[in-house]
Amino acid sequence: MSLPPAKRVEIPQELLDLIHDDEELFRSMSPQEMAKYGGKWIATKDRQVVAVARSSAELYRQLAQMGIEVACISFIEDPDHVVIYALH
Amino acid sequence: MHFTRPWEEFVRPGGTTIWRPTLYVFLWEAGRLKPRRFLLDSGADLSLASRSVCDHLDLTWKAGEERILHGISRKKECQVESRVHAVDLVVAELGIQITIPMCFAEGEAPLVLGRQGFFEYFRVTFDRQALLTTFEFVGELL
Repeated sequence: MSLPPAKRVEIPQELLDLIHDDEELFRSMSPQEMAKYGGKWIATKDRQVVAVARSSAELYRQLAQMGIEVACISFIEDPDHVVIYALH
Repeated sequence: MHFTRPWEEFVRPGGTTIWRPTLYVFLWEAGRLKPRRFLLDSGADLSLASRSVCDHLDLTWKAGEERILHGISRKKECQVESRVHAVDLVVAELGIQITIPMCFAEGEAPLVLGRQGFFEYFRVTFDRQALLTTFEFVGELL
């Protein structure tokens, strides 16, 4: 696959704020709070966790049901797991 | 153009800490930019996501290049079917869009940024002592 040149994209401030809020939320979580999301997909908005699911498909369904079009989505690794993703 | 990002702290129940390099990017879903947090993995050949993410990017999963994913286990029952598509993603810190191959696994997979594509646009330096990742854009910019 040949890679096309990159191009500039204007990112609305509210989207950058979503990321900032997501980072702040994670930094503020205690290990116990973080552990309860281990192995799950979470969506955040306005410094709150708005959806949690075992699968990304379920998370998308929850967001659609709540009418949330834009949220910051992450997969939280299970804290008991050692993460090795080596794709070949 | 370059930027640095601190690694993220994950505290295990026993109290030990694991630091992981991550990066926020935006994906185009339903014609809108959506923020997603990816793990940065220099050991992964390709970037990775779930099939459901592929569906939300309005890509036809089956139309992608077929790839079989292996982890550290070489057992056949541990193989996962996947499809590779070219995906536009926007790096939040720089506001630039790049196009990289991404592997969409049948079933669930974490959000991972691997080498192919991403590491051709960026020189990525991991600094374990400072717990920082530096991204230097080395691609061509329109």
